[in-house]
Amino acid sequence: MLNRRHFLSTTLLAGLTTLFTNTKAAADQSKKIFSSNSPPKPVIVSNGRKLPWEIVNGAKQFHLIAEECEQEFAPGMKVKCWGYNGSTPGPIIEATEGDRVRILLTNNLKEHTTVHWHGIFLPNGMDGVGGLTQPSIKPGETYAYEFTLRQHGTFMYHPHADEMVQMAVGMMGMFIIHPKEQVTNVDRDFAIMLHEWAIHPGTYRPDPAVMLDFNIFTMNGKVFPAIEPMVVKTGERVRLRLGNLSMDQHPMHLHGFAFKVTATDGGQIPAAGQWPQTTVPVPVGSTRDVEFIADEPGDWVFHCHKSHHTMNAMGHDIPNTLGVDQSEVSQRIQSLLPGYMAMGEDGMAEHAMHGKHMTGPENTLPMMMGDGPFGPIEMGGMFTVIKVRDQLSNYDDPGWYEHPKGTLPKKW
Amino acid sequence: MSKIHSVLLLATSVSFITGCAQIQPKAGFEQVEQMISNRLNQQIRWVQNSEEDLAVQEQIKQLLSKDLSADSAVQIALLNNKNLQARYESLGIAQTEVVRAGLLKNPIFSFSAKFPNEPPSSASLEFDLIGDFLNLLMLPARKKFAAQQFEQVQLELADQVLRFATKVKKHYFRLQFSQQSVAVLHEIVSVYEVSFDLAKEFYTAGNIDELQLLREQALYETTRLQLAQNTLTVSAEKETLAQLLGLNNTQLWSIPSSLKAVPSVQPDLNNLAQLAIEQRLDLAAAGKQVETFASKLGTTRNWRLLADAEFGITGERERDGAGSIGPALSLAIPIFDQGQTEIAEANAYLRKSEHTLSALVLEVQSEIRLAQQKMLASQMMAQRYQSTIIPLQEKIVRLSLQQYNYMLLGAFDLLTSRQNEMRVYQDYIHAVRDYWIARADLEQAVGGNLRFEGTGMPQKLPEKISNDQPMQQHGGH
Repeated sequence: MLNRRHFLSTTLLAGLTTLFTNTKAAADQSKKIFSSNSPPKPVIVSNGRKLPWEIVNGAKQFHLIAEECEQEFAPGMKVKCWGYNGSTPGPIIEATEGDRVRILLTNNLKEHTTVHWHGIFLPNGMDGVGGLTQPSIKPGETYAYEFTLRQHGTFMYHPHADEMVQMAVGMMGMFIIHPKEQVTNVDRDFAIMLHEWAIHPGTYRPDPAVMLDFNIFTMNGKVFPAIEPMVVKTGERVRLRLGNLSMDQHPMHLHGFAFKVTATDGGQIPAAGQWPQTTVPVPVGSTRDVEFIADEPGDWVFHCHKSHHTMNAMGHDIPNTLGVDQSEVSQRIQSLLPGYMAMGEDGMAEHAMHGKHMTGPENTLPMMMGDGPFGPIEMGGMFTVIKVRDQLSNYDDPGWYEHPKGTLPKKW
Repeated sequence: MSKIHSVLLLATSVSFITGCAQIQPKAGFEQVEQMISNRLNQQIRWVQNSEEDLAVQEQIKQLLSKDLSADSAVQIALLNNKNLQARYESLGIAQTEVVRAGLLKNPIFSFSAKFPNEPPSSASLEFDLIGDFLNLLMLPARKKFAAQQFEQVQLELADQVLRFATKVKKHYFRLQFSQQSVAVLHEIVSVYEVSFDLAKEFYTAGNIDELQLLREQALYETTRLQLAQNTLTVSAEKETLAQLLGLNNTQLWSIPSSLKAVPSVQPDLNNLAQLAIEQRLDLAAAGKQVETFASKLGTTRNWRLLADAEFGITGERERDGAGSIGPALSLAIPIFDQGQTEIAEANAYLRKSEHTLSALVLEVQSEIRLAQQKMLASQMMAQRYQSTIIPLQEKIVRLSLQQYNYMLLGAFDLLTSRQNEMRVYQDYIHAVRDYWIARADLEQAVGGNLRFEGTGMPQKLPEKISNDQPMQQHGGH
């Protein structure tokens, strides 16, 4: 509680300061307040990996391998994706402003590709647009991209050759550039790549032809409840770096806190432009950094607020069963079609149970999943939990929150 | 007097030669029975108001007490069909021809008395006893032709019995298919009905529009009419079979509700043409006709100059009382007619019969090929349905149900997959029916039973498509 109050007063102070000074001055001041000599804390990638590097000829040399890979979105669903170095999204490239980076791209796909450094300032020739700034990289070829990082922030990489197909099947990753000096003192810095997929029930491969009717929504290539929770100690400053290369905007909503959008892939947002929000729309082809102080312990949900995006595969063209009385016909249908069960008359919550007891199509997740301490959570897709705890010995999943007495709703 | 004596002797001996031919009530039917039992393993009976008839009626009663198999239906038809009995009478008619052939033309006795118009007043008497010479000479040949013709009639009759048996069998399979198909259609109608009732609930809840509701209703109503139509077909086919079985009701007998599956052991299809030559009775009948016309031609050629020859006895008693008796002979002098027309006619008949036989041989071979192709094709189709298409549809229903369970598919689409499964089952039994019909045709084409390398009782088809989907366990609500 103390921490929360402290944060509020700090914010209040900052707000007042902003009111009475000009923007530039405020930015300078915040720099002064938060700047330190400590090196930037490495980014945390739930369910993900980072791309290792080594210094070769004076540059941080990374090696991306474009290839097909099988990825488990959640137990019971494996998807034949294209990605980098065996996963989608590919491993995060993490570097620091001022670094000279050399990124090798080996194409192990059966069609050509390129890699475009989304949002990064670089010489035009390194921009990775097949046909425009370079020849596409043929299967088996390796190309080296080399440039100096002139900015910091959250960026992305993705192909710019047969882009529609290659991104639909998973080719993308995040590119984090830390500032030379820490701008804000962030304790927990999470990077989450959002994506959406059309994987028809019973199939294994995303369908790139689908433009609107997506049915699987992932954070770092996983769906709830396979998405690792973000574990935070009470009072810690948290940054969520969100990237979106899907076909839809995702309004990402946080329970329990207000956050500020501190940066986009276009750069830092001046403090004056950082208004408090609980939902940040992450537009198609952009990144958002949001920051907040996790000063209230609990299991706080972070999810896309398009409610269909927190569901797994479901029929979008089926007759609406809501309010349909099947008590008379269902027995007759059962005699003609053993195994038939009337459903959906009173709502779809029962599907959280169906997933456990009824057989669905091969390689298909039930539309709602996840069990909490009080019952089925009835979610899927872009849904995860930020677990804020007063006491933590490490950042492993601490289990469900134990609510202090008197802080739970009562049956009236 | 001794002369008169010898005349009597001659007459007696002539009547002895011809007297062998007597009318027998079932003459020649045994051979027909034999031919049928060799080819069908079935009995035929010529009902002639004897004690045997009671046994036949008892046998029919026995057969009718159980569900009729194709074979028992054929057996009943063979024993009980009155048209068949009518045909057996043609054997009786043919037999009278044989007897008639063995009879000589009756000799013609002519007598004249001449009375003088002046005394002495005793009359002079003349008599002739004239017989057709050729008629007598040709008696053995005539009997031979008649016997040949009778054989031909027997063969043709037996052939008709076989064709009749095939007809019964085919109608049996048609009826069995229609019955089974209607049973499946009943199920299909139930699916449409429940689909429509479900649509009503959706409509009442305000979840589908009237258009969609009416579409469901239209499907249901159409299928219901289809069921009525097919039910009528069953009645019509049952009537047809009842006629063939010689029964005047359709209630007191029944046939199993489902067709037998295509057996795994198939007939030996080698040398079917040879088998047909050995077995087919119409071929034998046509061959017999050629034989008859060939011998007729020979006889005509040998005896052509003796046409119109007559012989006999002529006697006279003069007025003076002196009598005389002696043989008489009259011959046509072959100046104008030397029997050319008869020979030409006999030749033409022979050639006609030969051509008919050749044509028949070709037809038989073609019939065999066609029936064999049909049988093999329907066998292949039935097996494909059984091994692939039905399991495919069952799996489609199962997977549809899985999609339904996860709300990926609506109940109407799920029910449609069940309808499709049932429709495919109807197509399957149609193929099975075609197999049995083609097999009956092939049996007819080879003139009897097909040879089997082994024995294998065909399995009974399931009456309706299996729907043993595992019941889903469901707890929680």
